[in-house]
Amino acid sequence: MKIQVLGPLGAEVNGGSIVPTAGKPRQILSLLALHPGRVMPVSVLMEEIWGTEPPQSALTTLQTYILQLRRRLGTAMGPDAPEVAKDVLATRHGGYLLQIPAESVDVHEYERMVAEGRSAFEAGDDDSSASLFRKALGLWRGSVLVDVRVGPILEIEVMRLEESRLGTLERRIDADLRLGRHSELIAELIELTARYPQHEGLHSQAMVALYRSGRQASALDIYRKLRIRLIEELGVEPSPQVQRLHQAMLAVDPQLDVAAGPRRSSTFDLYAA
Amino acid sequence: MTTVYPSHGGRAAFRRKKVVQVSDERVRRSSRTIDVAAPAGVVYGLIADAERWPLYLPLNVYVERLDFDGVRERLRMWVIAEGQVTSWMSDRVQDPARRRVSFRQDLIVESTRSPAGTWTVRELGPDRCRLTMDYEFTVVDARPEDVRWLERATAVNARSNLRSLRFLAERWPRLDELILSFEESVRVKGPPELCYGFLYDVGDWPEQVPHVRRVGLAEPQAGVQRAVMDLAAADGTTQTVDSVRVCFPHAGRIVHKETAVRKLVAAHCGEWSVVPDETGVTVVSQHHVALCEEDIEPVLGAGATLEDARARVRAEIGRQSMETLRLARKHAESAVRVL
Repeated sequence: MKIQVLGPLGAEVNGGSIVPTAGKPRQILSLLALHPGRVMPVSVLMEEIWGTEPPQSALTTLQTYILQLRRRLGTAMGPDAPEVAKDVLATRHGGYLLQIPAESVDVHEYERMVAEGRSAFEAGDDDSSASLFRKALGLWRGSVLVDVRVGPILEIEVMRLEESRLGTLERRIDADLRLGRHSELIAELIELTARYPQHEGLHSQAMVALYRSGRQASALDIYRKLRIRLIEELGVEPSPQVQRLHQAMLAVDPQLDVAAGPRRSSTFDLYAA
Repeated sequence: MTTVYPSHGGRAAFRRKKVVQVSDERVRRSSRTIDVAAPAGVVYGLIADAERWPLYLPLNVYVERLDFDGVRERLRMWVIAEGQVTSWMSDRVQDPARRRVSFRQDLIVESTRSPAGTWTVRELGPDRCRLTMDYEFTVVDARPEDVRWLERATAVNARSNLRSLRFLAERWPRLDELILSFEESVRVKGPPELCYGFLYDVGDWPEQVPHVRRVGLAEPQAGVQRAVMDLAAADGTTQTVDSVRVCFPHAGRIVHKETAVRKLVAAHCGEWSVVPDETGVTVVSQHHVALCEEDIEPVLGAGATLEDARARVRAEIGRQSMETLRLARKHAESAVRVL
């Protein structure tokens, strides 16, 4: 079985899609798939579907959805020899769990590659690190569960994963910058700073990429626009790290030209105190 | 009794033509037609009702409807083709206004592409219609034996399906009385795995289940069992029943289709399911049976009615199921739990 949540919900068994069409069973499958092998309490599932005010029939309805899913998944998994049932969707004291290996879900693969990418970064292997992060991001086919109605529980998961995606993207760019790929990154960073106009990490990266490509004026312009935006919209100055990066550019600090210094920090923290 | 529905040989009912196009990819087409003495709507209804096909069509073992929006549906089918249980997905589009059902199957044989076809029912009069099944697939570098296999299987199954549909449709005024569906269930306070295990281990039934005298079991593919069982009827006689059982341990289900049936029965299929919940397990035995009218008087005596046959079959299968269910419960509840 292969389940995909990094994008539209996908669930494939033996080459055939088994994603339910109805909204609530899709929510249940998504939530269970995000925690393979772990019991999801009935109360959590009910909160996800009905919020804080479940109808009287909620428990029965939930059981019906679970039975439908179990039948659907279990039947799609096809005939199998073992003498005992090994329920793919099992009932366990007060909850339900999807008994599939974690590797069946794309999030697991994504998180594994991100962790490996981080270790490579710490170990100074910028090349592997950049490529692992790139592969991890390549698993995404759109926004998390873009075609699933999300309730309060899934919403937290969606936020967590979208944050993780952005963080991984930033780390990948850090590794690329250390590899001296500054000019190749400019177009991507211009787009990213437009999409995340208050994201200081991405702005620091855009500044560094432009600066190292011999475009100091554009680098300073990025800072100027970020500062105006932060002051006008939030009433705050950019963080000290970005301010110091700006100072260093004004002072033409030679350290700025060292692509991969011994300090293994993010671009944002290049001038951390 | 090996054929489920009597075949109506002798009538030159099949017209078959095959066109072979020559190019790198060869399209194989076949078309079969049969005339039916029943209203077109009845025949269309039988084709549209794919979930019932295991009861209607002798070579159809099990159909699971994965999606259906009223027009488009996605089916997973298990079918006996050339003596083997084969499975595929079928995407169908129903068009009741034109009495057409078109379908597209996923790969059945490697190196063949886009197997697809159409069922069409054309009205010839108030109680007469013509049923046509068109089928085609494209061959791309397929091994000749695979192509022959597919052509042979398609031909045999299409012929069998058309005959069975005609047989059923021509009995349409009595179809509701000829078909019966029922279920038995028990509540078990024991592990679902043991309930399932008991139902799966059909080879052990002769020692455990009194009405089962003998079982010949083969499992040609993992989880696909072919069982020949000698069953003791209430009157002390023995009947032999052959069945195909497809086991889904991940869903706690075993579906079965009888390929050689007991007396009074024209077709029989069903399912064992183990359904756990918060407080225990419900084990269900479900049956769908089509009665064989021609058997009624020879078996039950002159003057016996369809109603008598229904009652007899319902009671006998029900009794046997209940006996097996109770033993499954005993097996699960009396097991010494280690750990």
